[in-house]
Parts: sequence; structure tokens; C-alpha cells
Amino acid sequence: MHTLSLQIQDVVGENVNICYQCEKCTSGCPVSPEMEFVPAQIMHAAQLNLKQKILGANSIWLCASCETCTTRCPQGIDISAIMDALRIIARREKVKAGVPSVPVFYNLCLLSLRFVGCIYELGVAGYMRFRTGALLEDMPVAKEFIKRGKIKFFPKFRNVGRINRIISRVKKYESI
Amino acid sequence: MKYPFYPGCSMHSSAKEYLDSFMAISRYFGVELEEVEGWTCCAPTAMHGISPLLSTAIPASNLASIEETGQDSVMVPCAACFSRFKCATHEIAKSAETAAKVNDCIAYDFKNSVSILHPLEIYDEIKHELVIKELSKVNVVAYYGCLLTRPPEVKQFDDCENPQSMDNILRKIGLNVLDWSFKTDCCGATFNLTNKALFNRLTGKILDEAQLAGADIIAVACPLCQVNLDSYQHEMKKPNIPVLYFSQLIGLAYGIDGKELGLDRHFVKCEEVIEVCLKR
Ligand code: SF4
Ligand code: SF4
Repeated sequence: MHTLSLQIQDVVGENVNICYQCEKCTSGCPVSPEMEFVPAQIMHAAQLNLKQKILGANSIWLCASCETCTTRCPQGIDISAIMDALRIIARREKVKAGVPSVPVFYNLCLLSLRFVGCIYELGVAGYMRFRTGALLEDMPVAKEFIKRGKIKFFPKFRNVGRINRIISRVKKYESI
Repeated sequence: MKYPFYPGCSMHSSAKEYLDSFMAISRYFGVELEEVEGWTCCAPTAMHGISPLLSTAIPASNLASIEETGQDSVMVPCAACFSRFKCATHEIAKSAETAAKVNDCIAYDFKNSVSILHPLEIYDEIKHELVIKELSKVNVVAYYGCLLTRPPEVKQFDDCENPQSMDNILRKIGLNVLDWSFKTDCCGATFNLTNKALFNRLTGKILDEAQLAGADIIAVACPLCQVNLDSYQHEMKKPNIPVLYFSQLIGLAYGIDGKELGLDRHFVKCEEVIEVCLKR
């Protein structure tokens, strides 16, 4: 059986085993106060192959991909890429997400990319609001966005054909 | 000077004033910009949490279409697009295996010969002598966000902990630039859509710190940072601090009309704030 550290290595080519727990990643992480396991704990748990604990934690979905940890890690570990890998593994293995709204958002972005060729902001934002029950509450701000022309009502389609050709070829190598 | 120009999705919607102001100052300085034909989305943030190869191949396909025309650089003002492009070229340069997979996915033999430019890199030679509007009484903090500088070996852009490129430009056009320690902290990213409490904490912190530093205005270079910091101040009951693109501030200093710079599109209006500052 593959350990989690090997799976991570396979997805993003990073080695969790060289982490020596200095916690620089955690101290610079903007969302560590909200995380069930902070970045250094994720690294430690990955070394110990505590897979279900990590994949089910809110941490991997709260990571903002800000790259502060990656920039500061004295061991040169790309922790942000490891967070990506954990999201990808969790998605593949259908683990219930610690923050369900984030994978929904990811899927919406992918859908938008496929059908529109760009991120259709009104559709993506509108659906997310609808889903979190904040659609009405957010109407005043949404109206202001439309009034200012900051959000387009209808999407502009961009080279959807090329995007879908690329997606179908990427599938040869990676599941999407 | 003439550059191929990749606007990306945001500059045609939520960041239209970034497009307008960047175009306006480019006309003023005689920088010609030619929109890349047939461009697609850059496959931003969410996508590398789905498929690293897809998030490399899509930017590469856009760069390939520039390379095919024989051009060797592209201007990418959106920090998110800039980041994706830089990351893609880095991944391709780093691994022959990735490069081969990308070539297969985009059905093109990509040479990785296009350099990715950000407007902050070309406006650093701006001349103070040409400034028309005196803005020295306006206090400003430069906010860079995550995507322009990190990780440094990929972005090769500016100091990742204490960047100066925007500070220098703002100083040259006569603004009073303040130092502060939140230049590269996270603006709340897309948490606005997925976790409002976290969004309010992150965004609120930047606004509070800017105010504590004594800023009248926050200058930005990223569409996501601008929308996040500007649009919800009222809702978050924060003091109103205008959040302007550096290109709008350059335009103002050079006497370009506010309407042309899209100043009226912001939630927190800047004109009154600037007038108050000038009377100090
Ligand atoms: S900064 Fe690097 S070495 Fe230090 S705890 Fe984090 S991952 Fe481990
Ligand atoms: S990339 Fe993710 S884990 Fe790393 S510092 Fe940023 S939010 Fe934290």
C-alpha cells in the first residue's frame, strides 16, 4: 500500500519527510488560527501516515495558497503544493471535505472554465451565495457590482474549444 | 515600446478600471499594447488544487500563441494571471517530463521563450518632473498581496518580505508613501465566497493596519485584492479608505481625467478624500 507521503510525492513531487518541525510555516500562515491542524502539524501527520485525520481536516480547504509557508520553509519544502496535493487526493478518494463550500467552489470554477472559457463571476458568485443561503442578504452588494459594471450579466465566451481540447488531453495523465 | 498584452478575465469585468487606467497611462507614455488574440482564462487558484498539469497547460497554451507570432514578452497586469504564467513557465523549465506533457496537451512544441512582464516593472522609470497634480499631502500605503512576489524563485519580481517597486513609483509621482508591515499579507482571497467569517478577519486586518499606519489611500496591483479591500468596507463597518490601482494614482498625478481612470467605479470614493488631504 502507498503511504500518504508517497502519494504526495507522486502528485506534486514534494517530500514531507525532510520537515524538521521548526514551525516557521505555521507562524506565517494567515489562516492557522482557524485550522484544525496547522501546517507544521499537517507535515508531521503526513510523516506518520495519519491519512484520514489530514484529509478530513478543515486545514487543507482553508489554505489560501498564499505561499508564505513555501517562501519561508528553511528546508525548501513547497508546503503550498503539498496542500494542493492533499486537496487532490481528498477529491479523488471522495473524502468528505472539512469545509464543504470550498470543493463546491472549485468544481464551479472548473465548470465555468469548461463551458465559458473563463470564470463567469456572476454565475460562480451567485451560486455560492445561493448555496450558503446568503443570496438575499448579499443582494445590496451584488446590485452595486452590477450598477458599477463590475460584474457582467452575461458571460463572454473565450475559446472554449481550445480549453476543452486541453482538458481532454490532460485527462490522459491526471484525473480531473 | 510595444507589448503583447494579456488582460485576463478580471480586467474585463470586476477590474475594468484597472484596464481603463492602465490603458490611459500607457497612451500617455506612448506604450503600445496589443491584446493577445484568442486568449483564454489563465486557470487561476482553484485549478491547481484540481490538476497541476491543467493549471500549467492552460497558461502555456496562451503563451504558446504569443510565441507562435514570434514575440518574446507579454504584459500581464493582473497579479493572479501574472502568477499563473510565471508558475507555468517555472514548472516547464524545472522538469522535462512536465514540459513534454504540456507540449502534448497543447499540441505545440513550446520553447518557453516568452518573458512575463508586470506593469510595475516598466513604470519604475517614471519621471517626477512630469507630474501635474501635487499629491504630497496624501498618505498612501502600497499593498502587494500574495501573488506578485511569492514564491520568490518563481516570481523573480521584488523582495518577497518587503517589496519596494510600487512604493518607489508612488514616491516618484509625489505621494507620501508610508511604511507598514502588511504589504504582502493575504487579502482574504476567495473566502468571500466560501467562508465569510474568515474573509472578514483577513480583509479587516489589512484595512485596520492601513488605518493605523496613517494611510488615506491603499494602492494595489491586483484585481482580487482591490475588490476584497474596497467592496465590503461598508458591510464590515470599517472606516472608508479608498483602494486604488497604482495605475489610477499615476493617472491622477499626470492630470488624466478621473472618469477615464474609472475612479467612479469604486465603492469607497477617493476624490473627496484627496480633496480633504490637499487642504491639510
Ligand atoms: S517550515 Fe518547513 S521545516 Fe519548518 S515545520 Fe514547516 S514544513 Fe517543516
Ligand atoms: S499557502 Fe496555505 S498553508 Fe501555506 S501559509 Fe498560505 S494559507 Fe497557510
